[in-house]
Amino acid sequence: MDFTTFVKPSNGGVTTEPHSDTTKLQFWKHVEYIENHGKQEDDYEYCMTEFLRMSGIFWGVTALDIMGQLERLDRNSIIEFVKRCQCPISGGFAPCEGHDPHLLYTLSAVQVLCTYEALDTIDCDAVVRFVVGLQQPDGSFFGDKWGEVDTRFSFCAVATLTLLKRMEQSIDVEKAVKFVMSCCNQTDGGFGSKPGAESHAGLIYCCVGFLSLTQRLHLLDVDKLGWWLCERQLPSGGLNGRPEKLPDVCYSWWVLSSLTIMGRLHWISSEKLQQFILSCQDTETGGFSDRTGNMPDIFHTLFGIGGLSLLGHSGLKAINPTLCMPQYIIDRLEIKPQVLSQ
Amino acid sequence: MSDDLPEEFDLIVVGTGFTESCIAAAASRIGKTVLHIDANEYYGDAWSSFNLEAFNCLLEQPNFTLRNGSYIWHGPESKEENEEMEIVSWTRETLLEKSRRFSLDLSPRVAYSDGELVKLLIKSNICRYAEFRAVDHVCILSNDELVSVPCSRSDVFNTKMLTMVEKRMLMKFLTACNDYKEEDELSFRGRTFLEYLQAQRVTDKIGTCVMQAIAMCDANTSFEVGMQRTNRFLGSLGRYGNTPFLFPMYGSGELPQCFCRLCAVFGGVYCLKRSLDGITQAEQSNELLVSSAGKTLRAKQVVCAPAQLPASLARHYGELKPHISRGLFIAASPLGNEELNKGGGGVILLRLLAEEGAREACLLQLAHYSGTCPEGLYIFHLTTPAISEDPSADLAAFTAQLFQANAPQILYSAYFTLTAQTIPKTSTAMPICCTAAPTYELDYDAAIANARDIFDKLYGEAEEFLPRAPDPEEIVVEGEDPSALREHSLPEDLRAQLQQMDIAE
Amino acid sequence: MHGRVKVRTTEEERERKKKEQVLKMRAYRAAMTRIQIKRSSGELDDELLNLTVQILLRNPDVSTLWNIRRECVLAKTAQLQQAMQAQEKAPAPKASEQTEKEEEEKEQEQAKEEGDGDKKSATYSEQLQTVYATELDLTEQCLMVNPKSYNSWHHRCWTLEQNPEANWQRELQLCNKYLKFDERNFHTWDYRRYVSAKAAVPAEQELDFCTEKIKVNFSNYSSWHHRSLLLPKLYPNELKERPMSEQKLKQELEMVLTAAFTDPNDSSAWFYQRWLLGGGVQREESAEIVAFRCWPHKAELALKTSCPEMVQLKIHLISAQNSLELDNWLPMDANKTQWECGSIDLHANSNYILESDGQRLPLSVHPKDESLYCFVPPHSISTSCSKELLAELQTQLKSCMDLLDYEPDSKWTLLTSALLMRAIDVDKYHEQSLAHLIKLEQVDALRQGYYQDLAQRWNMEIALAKWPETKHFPLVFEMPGKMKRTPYVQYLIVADAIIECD
Repeated sequence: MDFTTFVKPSNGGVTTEPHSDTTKLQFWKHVEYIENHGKQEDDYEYCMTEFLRMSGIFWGVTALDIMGQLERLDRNSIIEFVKRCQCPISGGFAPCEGHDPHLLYTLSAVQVLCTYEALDTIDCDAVVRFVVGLQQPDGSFFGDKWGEVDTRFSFCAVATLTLLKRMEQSIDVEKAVKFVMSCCNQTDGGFGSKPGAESHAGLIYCCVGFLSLTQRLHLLDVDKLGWWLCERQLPSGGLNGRPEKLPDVCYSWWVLSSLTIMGRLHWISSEKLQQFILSCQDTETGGFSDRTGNMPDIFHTLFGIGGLSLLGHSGLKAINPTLCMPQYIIDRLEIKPQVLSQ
Repeated sequence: MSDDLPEEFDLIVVGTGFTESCIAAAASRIGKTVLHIDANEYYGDAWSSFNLEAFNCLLEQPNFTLRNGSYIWHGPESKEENEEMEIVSWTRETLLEKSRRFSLDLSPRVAYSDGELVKLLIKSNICRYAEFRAVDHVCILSNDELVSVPCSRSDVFNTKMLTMVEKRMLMKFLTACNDYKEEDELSFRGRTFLEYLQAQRVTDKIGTCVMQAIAMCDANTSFEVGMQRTNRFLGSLGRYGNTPFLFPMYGSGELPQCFCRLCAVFGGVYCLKRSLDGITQAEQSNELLVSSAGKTLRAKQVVCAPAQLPASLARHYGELKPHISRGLFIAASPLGNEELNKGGGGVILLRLLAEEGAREACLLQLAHYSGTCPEGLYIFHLTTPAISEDPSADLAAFTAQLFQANAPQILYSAYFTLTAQTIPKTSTAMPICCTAAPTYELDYDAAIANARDIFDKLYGEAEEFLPRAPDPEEIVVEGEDPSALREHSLPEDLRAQLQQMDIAE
Repeated sequence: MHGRVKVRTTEEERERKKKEQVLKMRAYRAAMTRIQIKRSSGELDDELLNLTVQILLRNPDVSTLWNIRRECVLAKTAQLQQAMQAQEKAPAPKASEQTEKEEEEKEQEQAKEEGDGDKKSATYSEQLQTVYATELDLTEQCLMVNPKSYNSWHHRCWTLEQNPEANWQRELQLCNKYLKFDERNFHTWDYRRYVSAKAAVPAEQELDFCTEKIKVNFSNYSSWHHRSLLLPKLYPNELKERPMSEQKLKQELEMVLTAAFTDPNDSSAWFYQRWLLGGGVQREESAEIVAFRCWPHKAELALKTSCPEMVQLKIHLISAQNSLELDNWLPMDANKTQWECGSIDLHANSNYILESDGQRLPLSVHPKDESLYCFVPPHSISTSCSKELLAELQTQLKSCMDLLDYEPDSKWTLLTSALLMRAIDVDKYHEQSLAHLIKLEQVDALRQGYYQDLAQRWNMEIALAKWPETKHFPLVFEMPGKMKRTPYVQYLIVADAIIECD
């Protein structure tokens, strides 16, 4: 049966009744999944993803911390690993040894070190120099010296500096804000990766997060953007990243955290979203996948757990929507990313 | 014909029309020895295509299949006669000069993209011999104008024929039909499809689109049949082109030959201009003795097109009666506006109704992209079930609708009747199987069903009807375990790397 | 990591896969080790380039390998450019007398001198182009593997930027090709915008491309988005009250409505449509004052949207006699829309005007305590519109209402008709548009909270707009219905009492 010319593909609505196993959070399965992630040196997936290892560590560490099981990972070896990844020349962090430093992994490294209260083990001044050096005259940021520009990097830069408490007197915040706002779209109030780029939930998270960190949420058209964001929820309860796309646990996080920062969490159905996220658990191996029935991975596992935390699931520590880190760490650092009230 | 051919066959097939060719191919494909003959000097019998000159000859010499033939030239005879006209147009001379560029079908057909024919061609891998053009437009007549029926979401979006609300209605109606399941709409069981349509509160225009072009119904068509037809239409959408239909490139006469080619590939023997002269039961065996061209051949079974039966047997099948009335027109301009004939036009299908829906006809308009006529010319095929011995009178009600307003510039018109026996069933007394003459249908469903029936009768249902024929490159070497992982199954570059590494270690 | 279906495999299958993976992993590690050794010893040669190809074709996201390639390309191009300069500088006597053949021979010799045997007759600039072409080919292959690889797209841009002779037209064709495979790939659309700017493609041509894409499939948010960028440039609205000229707006509204009627469940065009129905393009850069009240020694101020820093906002009270700057504002609420200033000294009996960045607001005397105040109700969207546009909106509303008659639960139709009503006449259709929101809460329960908030906003907007005409203004404000969250609450600083509804 092919009727595609008249009927567009379904919205990926997961209409099946949730399986009994996936109505409850498989807490210990997930702990086990994260704990074992990468324990086998010769795990193929693990080996082939070494180019983003630093972020992988951040995802695992944060997910376990949210679940109150941080002690299951070896603090010292992680700190040692992170230290080894700092580039002695540029000051930025590489995803792992043998690779080049990049803003993406620099933020992950700083996030991990904040979690372990170990910022003093690295050269923070060098990190600041690295970040500052990547800002461009128009306020945007390169991801590394090779010149890719993207609003993701604007977020990484201000998040890194916020965590290091070095945002003032380092970068030109006004210009940085101006660049991010130049990526705001008139039609939907959302943001893309660069000026003129189509709105995308992942980049909206970066830009809303950026404005939250720079205390400039008033620049958002909350009603317009909020509507676009709440329209991401599909009948399955899951959220997609753009109109007419499939739902995905990671987009669920990006939309959910943006709505939370904007004080509009009540514009979607939390109950249905929770059902969707839980349906993406792998009840055999633990871990979350992008969609019901797919292969789990560490990235979606953090965003699954993080999403549930934002929705107030019991047994999980509160997560900060802007920095995607446990709230207690943000409090400890005395950082206050802006959040709009309802 | 070489007369050193074998004298014994599992099956002798007489007539190279679509149905007979299907059977010949199917038998040959399962390993039967097949002789396929035809009394004519061309392939295809009543399913054949002809160039213009040959077509005229055929009309002049009636045979068992075709009678009441006539043709008229409408344009000027030659250029001299045409001198006073400013634009040099087509003349009888120029048309005949290009005679070979025509491929004029006796039985023009289209195929549903997901219909029986296409499925059979794909399943059997005969599709590699066939080439199709997606029908460009399915039309209805609205106020004497040809209007394209929207066949896709984007068609509905772009069409100017429907109002905003009608667009929604059509989409909704079709989506409902598409989602229809056996257990739905029980209240319409035993009622007509028209009643169902009316209950959906659609406008007249949408009603016309659905009844005439999509469901291809009349007022009496039952709900179940209408729904089935609608879904046949919908199910064939979005596969190849913008409409659910395909037209065989170079004419419908190509199709029987595709089956003949498969038959020949599997050892079938072909002889044209060879008729079936007589047939008798062999003594002391179940074999049949077939006399043809002065020779006696032995066959376990014989399949024959009704029109090629020897006179002695033909009488068992009753009289040949008019079955289908055909009109064929060559014109220098197409039907329909420019939008419908973009870039010179393609293939347009239009179902016509007359006498308040009691009678119907099918129009196929072919432009040169179909490979059936020279550039700048258009062929109109009109087909209707015969009600008399006068095909032109039978079609008058339809030609009047088509050629009244905005008449195209017709250069040539021809009419003929295709015949069929009054008793098409194979009589049990007969030692052979007889196929059915072409019936009035859009696709080949009935013809394929007929072929399949006869095949099953001959070989039992255990034998598959036209299983997939292997491609030449699909040669399987025995003893190889395709699942075993060997290092040499790794990509070239990885292997090189590994070797390098082993040396390093 | 996205969209991989978990398939149950047999034990055998797993073993086989495992073996294969071990081999692949060994190959990967071997190559990576070799790459790192070569890089650290500065061997930026073809072998190094080839080693990266093997990994990148499988995994184009390993950004470090692209960096290495760029290092190799830079090294090669520098070498070639040096050679070219050397050639230019070298005395070429009787160059005009030399036959072409001789020239060729000379080049060959030079190539040999450099030990570059296999590039015989290619000139330096051809060699340079070959270097770039290799990079472009590789990114093209990688994009076939993963059309969403940020790294491959960036490497392509980087390569083209390096090459002064880059063929941008070819890149445009590539975009067309990729958009045929996936018309929603935002990387391709971004790249298209980048390339069409480089190739100086006229905006009209881009708009035509966009229209074609929508005709083929209107379920394409990316196309609608691209359109929204082009139209305000091509058909600007002089007054900035609408996103584009009214003439064009009318056509766009018709097109988008057609899409929605063809499939009201396809959300692609919804946002575009709502944008068309909305007000102007400009968002206020600076904070806008909506209410103000001041007593002899204290002032309160309400802003339309929150403002983190009042320092930037210069606020003056101006009378015939003097001008008084108000500063040292302190926020009164968490959203920073209400501010308080406690250090002023006002002369009584003067007519004051409130002035801030581009705003001049006359002040009235409050009947209760003779404080001075001003109040600007939130503007409703029924800005003036031409007869033609109004007629179009009315036709569209009629079509929507017809459709609702046919499909009363259609979410899109309910919302759109409510928006159309408000675009035509907020006041007249107020109750009816609210009724649509109530219906929407049922048919689109996921977004119940959104519709509730929207209804409250609309209620509040109209109540605030009508407030100045009521007899209790500005003493008493009567809340329009029960509010869970009160939008526009800052506007109420001028009121002494607020009556809640039960």
